[in-house]
Amino acid sequence: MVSKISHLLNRCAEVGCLTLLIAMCLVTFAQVFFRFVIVHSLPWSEEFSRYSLVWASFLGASIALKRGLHIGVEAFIGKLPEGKRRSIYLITLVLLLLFLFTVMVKGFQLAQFNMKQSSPAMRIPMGFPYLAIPVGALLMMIHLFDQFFLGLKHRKGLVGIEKTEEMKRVEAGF
Amino acid sequence: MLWVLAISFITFLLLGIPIAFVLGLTSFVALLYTGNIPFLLMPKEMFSGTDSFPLLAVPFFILAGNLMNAGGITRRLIHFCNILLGYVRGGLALVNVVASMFFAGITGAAVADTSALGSILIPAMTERRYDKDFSAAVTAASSTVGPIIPPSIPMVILGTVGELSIGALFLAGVIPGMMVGLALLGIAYWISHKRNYPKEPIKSLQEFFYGLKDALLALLMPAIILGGILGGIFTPTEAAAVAVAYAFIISFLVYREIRLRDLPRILIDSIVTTSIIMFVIANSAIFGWILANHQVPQIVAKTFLSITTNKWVLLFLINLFLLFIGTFMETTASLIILTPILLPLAVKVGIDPIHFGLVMVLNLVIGLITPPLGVCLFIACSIAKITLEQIVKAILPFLLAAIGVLFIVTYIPPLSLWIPRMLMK
Repeated sequence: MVSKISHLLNRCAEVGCLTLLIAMCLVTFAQVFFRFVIVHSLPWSEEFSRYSLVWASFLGASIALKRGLHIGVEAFIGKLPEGKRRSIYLITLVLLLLFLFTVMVKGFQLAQFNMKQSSPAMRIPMGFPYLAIPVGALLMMIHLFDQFFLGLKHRKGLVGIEKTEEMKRVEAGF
Repeated sequence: MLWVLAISFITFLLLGIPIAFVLGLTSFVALLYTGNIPFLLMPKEMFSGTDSFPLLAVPFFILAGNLMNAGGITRRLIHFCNILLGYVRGGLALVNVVASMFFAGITGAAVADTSALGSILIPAMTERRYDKDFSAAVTAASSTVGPIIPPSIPMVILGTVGELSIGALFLAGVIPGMMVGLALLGIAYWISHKRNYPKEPIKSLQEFFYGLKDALLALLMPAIILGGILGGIFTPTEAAAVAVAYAFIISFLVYREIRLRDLPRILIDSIVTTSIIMFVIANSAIFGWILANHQVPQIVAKTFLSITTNKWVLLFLINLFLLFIGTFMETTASLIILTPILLPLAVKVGIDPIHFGLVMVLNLVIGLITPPLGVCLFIACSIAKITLEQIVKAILPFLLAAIGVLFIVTYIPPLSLWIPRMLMK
């Protein structure tokens, strides 16, 4: 059940990121075009791209978590036997869930506080860009819950520890 | 309080928690411990850390690099370098270094360089009877020029955090990047000569011109980026967007190796790579706030200044410190946390901020090939299918050469400052 939701939401996040990246490219390109060819700057383009980047970053961070691509130092933990590694991984998942839960709750509050304030150029409520953070945190929590239950039930399928650090790096591409 | 920060940071790091979450969790623990700062700070700092127009250059540079790579530029660049240098003793090793330098003009990250070039060149070198450890070492070492020769993702991040001109930082990397490349080229040639590695056949003039045409299209990209920024036409972010358009045209209309249905995957992968970096930035922003709140920058500055106020000695100490940090900390995180601490200190003793920024990035990048924890080493090892112990010995001469260049660049500031001063005033 959690797995299905996690997969479905991940698809949505992917589509969202795709749309945002295309939009950022087009708008920034249009910004250059308008300034030089039409000699008239777009007042809202920079703000739009910035907020899109924030949204894409947090949605993308949840996709990266789902794919197990957030990079850590695994030189020490990698030396431990499989069973111990697994238990440590499950404990760290609880820590991450606590952290993300706080970020999510406080993030929703922050967005709510800022719903009445409008952004300087586009005049949209500032709460919308702020919403990226709690939504991203929520998605990440769902993916981590999925991992946690998987870890309790089965021995396999823990994306965070099944890939080695260099595999993560290559897949992450930086 | 500082002990709480240090202990929780190290514990979380050793537990293998991803670096972004290590920073977030440590901040979380610090907030719990202090008790009087509202948790609302966390989402607020995460937002203000990522809400930045200069940082928008990061996804664009990554996307442009990925488009060029999927379009077959890597193979073409290697082919061209092979025509240029293949006939020399140890040809493929030299090709490896020079291709990395060209490739650095397209991507701004070292790891992308190692995996893209390594996956083609390491098997090719092994086939031509080069030692595996040597092939892996050359690949790993030469990828360090990626973030030094513009464009460079670490420089974008440094420029954003330290409020320095990204254009000037890009330009500052040109000569040092070439120097690192040439030093590595020298070492590779020397070792190849000693071990009598093979030469490749000389190519015809016609092949040279075909190769040149392909390579020129790739080399035009850094020229557009730098030219646009320097001419005051674009901001770095806009230049990056133009680079995306250029890469799109080259890959789809000129090379014609990508199909349209590959495009969504390339786009999503690019944004995922970006958001891994952005998520580190978001969490570092909270961590940075906590450090500043506890006056850590002042404490560090005081400690350094109590040892010495001589800027050359100070640079030496900072270099040692950064080389050490660079071996185990992720580049983005180190930059965001350390820039606000070290940059004011450097400016205080009279070091030029652009010069200092370049030294910082070069240091951290060398950390990527420093055993036992260099990331580029891991990747090269896994491609060559050798162990870390094997590559450690082979990387040593390259590592020493890179550190040598680092110290030369540190102590002769004009090497980094000459080009930006000449072109930007």
